[in-house]
Amino acid sequence: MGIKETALAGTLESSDIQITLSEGSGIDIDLDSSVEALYGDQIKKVITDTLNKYGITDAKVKAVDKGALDCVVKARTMAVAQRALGTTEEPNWEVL
Amino acid sequence: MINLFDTGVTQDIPAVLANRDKRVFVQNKLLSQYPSEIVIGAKLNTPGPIKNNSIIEDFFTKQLEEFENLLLEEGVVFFKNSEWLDAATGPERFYVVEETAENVKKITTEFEESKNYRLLFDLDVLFLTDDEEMQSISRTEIGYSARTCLICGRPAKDCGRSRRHSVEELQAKVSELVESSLKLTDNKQKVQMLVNNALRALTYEVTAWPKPGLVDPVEREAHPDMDIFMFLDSSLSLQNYLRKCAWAGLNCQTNTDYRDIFREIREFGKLAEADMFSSTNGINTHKGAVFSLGVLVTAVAINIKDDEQFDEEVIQVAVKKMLRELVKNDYSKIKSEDESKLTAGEKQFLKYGTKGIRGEAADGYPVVFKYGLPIFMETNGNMNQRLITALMNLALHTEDSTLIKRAGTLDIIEWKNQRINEFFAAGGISTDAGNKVLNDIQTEFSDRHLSLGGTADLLIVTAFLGLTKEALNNGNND
Repeated sequence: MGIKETALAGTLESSDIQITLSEGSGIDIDLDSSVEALYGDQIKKVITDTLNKYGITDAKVKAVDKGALDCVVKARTMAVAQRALGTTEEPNWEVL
Repeated sequence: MINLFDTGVTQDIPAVLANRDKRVFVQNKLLSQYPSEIVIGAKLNTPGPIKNNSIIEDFFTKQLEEFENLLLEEGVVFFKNSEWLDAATGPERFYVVEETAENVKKITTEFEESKNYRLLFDLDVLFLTDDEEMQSISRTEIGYSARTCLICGRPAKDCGRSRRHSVEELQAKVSELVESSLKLTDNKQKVQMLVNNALRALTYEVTAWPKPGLVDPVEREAHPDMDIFMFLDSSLSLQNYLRKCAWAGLNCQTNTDYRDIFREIREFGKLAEADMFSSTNGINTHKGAVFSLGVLVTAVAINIKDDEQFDEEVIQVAVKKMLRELVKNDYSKIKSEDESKLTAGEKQFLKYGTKGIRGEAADGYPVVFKYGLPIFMETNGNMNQRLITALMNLALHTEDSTLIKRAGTLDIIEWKNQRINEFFAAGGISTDAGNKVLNDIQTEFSDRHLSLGGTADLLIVTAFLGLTKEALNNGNND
């Protein structure tokens, strides 16, 4: 499943991650992170897994990471997914 | 040791992230309002789910006061714009600053690194780029190293991302850091309180009226070379000195030799005398007060350094321990000195054997504690009545060396006591009859060019002790 509209969640503050979702095919993640070498794969996995739980399999993902923990990556991905799908603004915690 | 995280409302990730969104919104709004300025976003890095409570908020605001002082000293124009101090997500405040981002970041980084507990502060420096995007400037961009971990000193980001340290371990470290800052903040408040009360005492003394043989706002014939304005100038010139005395007392430890504390403040006192003389064009307004008030500010600081209770015995013991060798050493020296260099008190010791203010001081100011302070505390009426009643009681029990010097004879003591007793017998300051006697005494002092300069110093220390005792009692009732 693709997305309905381009959406953004998160900030560029330290310990946060800003994620933008736009139309694409397959999950294509462009990650910018100061800890990419160490945690790049882990961050991408959390984003992909979370999007998959919302049924999103096709989207272009731009992620600017400022040292976010996994729980923050997950929460921001949930928010951006729900915005992109035009559902609720609040994170839907029942999904996970 | 305190646990800083005992109270407070637990925050979950959505709450923290929602607050972060709000913060970024406010920062953007400020930058669009002031596009050519810099915004500083101030917050704390607190590990775990508790982000705020009264201690955390207090720590935040007190330290930001220091940060604002730093901005002022660095010549930066700034104003506070918005804040949420009691939010459960943690206290935050925003400043708008007129300065380059690089310079501001230098100042914020130096602040964060200046004390170990200030490492808890996260001061973000934000500006608008040419294409009107909000951007922050990092430590590394201005040549500083990135933040290090509070516990192990590795780059903070590594430890944060890998969760190398447990929340409990981090909270214990943060508690320890905040506690060390609270002690300092507490001491600064004590110093301020003592300095305020010492300055109140100095200015109250000269304002009280009518005072025989002393300068007051109405009459100064016994001291034609002085007036009340000179005394006010002189009082203010002693501020720094009184502050140093208060610190010296707070820094006194159980194993400190109290004589060293006295040696310390005596050196401060020499500078204070010079400041006083320069503020009065060389007239001696407060030389005695520099000594006695300095000693008592120090002694009260020793009393309250670990304790908020005003304890007269502790204060007197501290004075005696500080001045243990004062009379012995000073008076053994004066016998070999050239007489023209001696003070009135020293000459009188040689002539009459009276120990004067040095004896009173070395004994822990018994006249002040036995008569001045209880009378000042117990007298009903306004401040003027309390001060004058205390002054006349102190005068009654003091062999004032200034009075003896002016009179040239010890017999003056008996006359003084007789007149003061008549003042009290007539009903004191609160009655017309008492006031009549007091005015007569003042005229007699002026006509005979007599002074109660030594007693005035004792009134200053009495007022200082009384005002401080009241301040501490009121504080305890809160």
